[in-house]
Amino acid sequence: MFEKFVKKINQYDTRRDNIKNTCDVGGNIRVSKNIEKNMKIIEPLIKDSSDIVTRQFRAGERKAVFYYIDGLASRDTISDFIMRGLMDGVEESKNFDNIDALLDNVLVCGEVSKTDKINEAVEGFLKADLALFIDGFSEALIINTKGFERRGIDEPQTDSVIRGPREAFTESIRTNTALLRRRIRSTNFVMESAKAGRNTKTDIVIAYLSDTAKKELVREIKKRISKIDIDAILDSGYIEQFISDHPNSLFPSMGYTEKPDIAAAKILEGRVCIIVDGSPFVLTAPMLFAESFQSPEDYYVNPIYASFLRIIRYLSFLISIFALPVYVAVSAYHYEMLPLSMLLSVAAAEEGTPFSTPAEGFIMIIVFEILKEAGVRMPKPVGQAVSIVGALVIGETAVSAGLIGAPMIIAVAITALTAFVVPMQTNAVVILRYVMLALASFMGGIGVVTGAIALLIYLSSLTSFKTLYLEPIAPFHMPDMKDIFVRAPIKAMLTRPLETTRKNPVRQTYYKEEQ
Amino acid sequence: MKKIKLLGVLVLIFALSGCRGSHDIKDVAIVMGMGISKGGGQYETTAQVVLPSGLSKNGEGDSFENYSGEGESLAKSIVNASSKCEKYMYMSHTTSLLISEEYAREGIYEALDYFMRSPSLSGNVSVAVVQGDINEVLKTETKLLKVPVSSVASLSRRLRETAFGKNITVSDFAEIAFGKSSACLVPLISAENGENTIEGSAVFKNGKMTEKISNKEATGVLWLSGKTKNAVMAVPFEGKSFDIKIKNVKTKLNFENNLVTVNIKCGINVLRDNSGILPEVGKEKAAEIINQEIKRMIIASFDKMKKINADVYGFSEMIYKKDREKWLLLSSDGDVLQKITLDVKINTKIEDAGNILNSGGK
Repeated sequence: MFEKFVKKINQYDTRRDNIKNTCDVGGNIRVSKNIEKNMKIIEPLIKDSSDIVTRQFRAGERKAVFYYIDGLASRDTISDFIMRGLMDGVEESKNFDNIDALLDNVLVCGEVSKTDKINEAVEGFLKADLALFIDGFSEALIINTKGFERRGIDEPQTDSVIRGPREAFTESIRTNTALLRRRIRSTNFVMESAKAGRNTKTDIVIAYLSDTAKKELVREIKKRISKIDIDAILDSGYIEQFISDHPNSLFPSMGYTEKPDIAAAKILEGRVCIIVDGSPFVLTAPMLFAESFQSPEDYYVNPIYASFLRIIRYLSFLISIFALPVYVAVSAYHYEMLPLSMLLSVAAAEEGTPFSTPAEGFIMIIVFEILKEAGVRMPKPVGQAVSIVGALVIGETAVSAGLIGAPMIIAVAITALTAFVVPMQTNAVVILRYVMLALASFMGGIGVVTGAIALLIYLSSLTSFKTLYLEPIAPFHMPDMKDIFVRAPIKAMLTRPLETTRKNPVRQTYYKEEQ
Repeated sequence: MKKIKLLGVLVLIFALSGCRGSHDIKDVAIVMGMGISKGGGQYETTAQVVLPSGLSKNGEGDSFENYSGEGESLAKSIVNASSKCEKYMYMSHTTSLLISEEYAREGIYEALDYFMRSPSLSGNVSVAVVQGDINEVLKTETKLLKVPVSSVASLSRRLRETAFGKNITVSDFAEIAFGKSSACLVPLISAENGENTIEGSAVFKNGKMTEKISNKEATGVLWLSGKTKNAVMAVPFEGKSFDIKIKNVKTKLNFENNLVTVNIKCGINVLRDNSGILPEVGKEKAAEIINQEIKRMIIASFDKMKKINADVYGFSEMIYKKDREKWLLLSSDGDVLQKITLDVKINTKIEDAGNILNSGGK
């Protein structure tokens, strides 16, 4: 259906075949031994960019030039370790006639690579490195001088915990990989790199445990990422929409997290993490439905309390979708279901209100969504005004003015509140609520039940990288139920989930207490 | 094909149910009880509709409204009553069915049939007979529950705690009326001095009210049918008396050779003994006195029931279920109840509160 839609909206747009190659220099232009020639090729590309610095100098008897981007490359590194080395060091030894000698003796830098292609050198300095050309050599050097400003490691905005690590990923990919590597110190922990985005050339790292993750999963992810052809990747959300099994589904078929401890836990279970430069959200795959209900804190606290919270989360998910529709269905169709005293209070509250119960329901949840959206986008100082207006107008005045019944406000409030208990599914829940409410309004209880059955069928048809979304509930795997509705004690979690790994199942040997 | 299937499913869903089934909660009048009386061949039915705003927490104004209608049949009178109401009369939450004494004496099978057949009425409606003016009962507002019919229903349901009688619902009534015993007790309500009270029980036989019995006689009936759980009674002894509370009653009935053996076991708490009877006679003797008193009460009510020939105990039903041939033999000439003799064995145990020896006023 979606593909048809894409075709339809694009069919009159003839521009779509006019793909322009945004590559800066011809891919095959080689570095010339004559430095002037090289400079002539690069000069027109950068002449309008005020932030690209060109510096010509003499290294011994040879002419040399380097390019870097002001603000991205570290000036200290450049002046202390590159320029000084080249100008002084060459003076002393004088004899270098190949570029390796220069590398070995003069340049005091950790990461240097050689290239004989001009476009690679250009790409090099565009990503904060330094590109160095020396007269007489047919190779350019790309020296790592990255030193741009980056946000420090902060507390996460989502997935906050009371107990547990408080570090969060940042926008810088190297910081993020370091955060993961600090947690998993194994050579089996592999971080493969990839790139996407014609203009942004965004770095992507695919991280997994080579002895645990399914090979075909890694292969599939790499294949899907390599197929992406778009001008820009600005956030991991782009990648998710390209590579997930059901990008247009209500339910997320890829997980995301802002916390390295969660990412590490998923990697250790055999999942694959996709880290995208510029995004503090790391993608995880495959994603199962039950994963949405797991919080990192579950594993850090007492298993009984953690299991209780799990059940509360499942309950909240159901309440969030069904509370309002069921209330509407009951009060418009099946009030014989209500106990007498409850019926009387509902009837007393609804008496004299102008709208029918379904209409009240729709009005209230739409108003709530507007308030929520306003609250998120609004500048912080104005936020207080919104909450006062929201609480007073919606909660208080609507009822006292006799426009909306009080039980409806309660139903909407419960629905709204419970949606945030399972953050991973909040978006799905919000949309589903409208569908269910419509069904309840038109068909009452039959509508709600029909909707619930359709929802179950839909959920069980979803997949995430060829893993069924409802696993291990349907199909049922008993050994994996230890971490679904309840959280078994850590000691009891002897094996990894069947859905994510088969070749390396054992997590721990049984811990026997000494008698 | 897929689209056609989907369309089919949607059509089915909408055909199965639709907006037309909807009555919004504010568009209905909730009927909480009905009063039925009959005079001169005309039925008069009063439906008591609750006014929810009058019941709400800071509600003001009336909490109920009565709509009456007359007609030559029960259904017609209900329709006539309903036609006077501005909203759709919604009956699923009816809790109480009040029947005037005259109508009860004529037989209430018609009302029973209507209630059992009606899809919107549940069988779980308490039945009560009104002694005196039924409209008076329907007008008597109480402070606690406000709506008269719900207070009547509530009084009937609480009968179990005092053992003054027994709450009976429409479906229970129907089950008994069409069973082998075909007699039962129905609470008798009257409005006196501005309050609704239970004045005893009405004995129904074959759907017709035949007799009135007092609360005490009703208690005797309940003892024998094993329906008592708790009771408070005064036990006379040599011109004085002491009060006891009976609890944890366990009744076992056994039938053999026309003899019903009743084994009753119960615990006793002494509530009052200011004349010092217990210390005087001792615990064992006191238990004996209590046993005699309970036995006397049971026998008295049994004799009365035998006299009016109403098997409110359900003995006939019990024998029928246990030994069908025996029942056929017994019922072939006359009523089963008349051929039954009773053997009552009571075993009481006075519990700790009876040990208080020095009561005030001794």
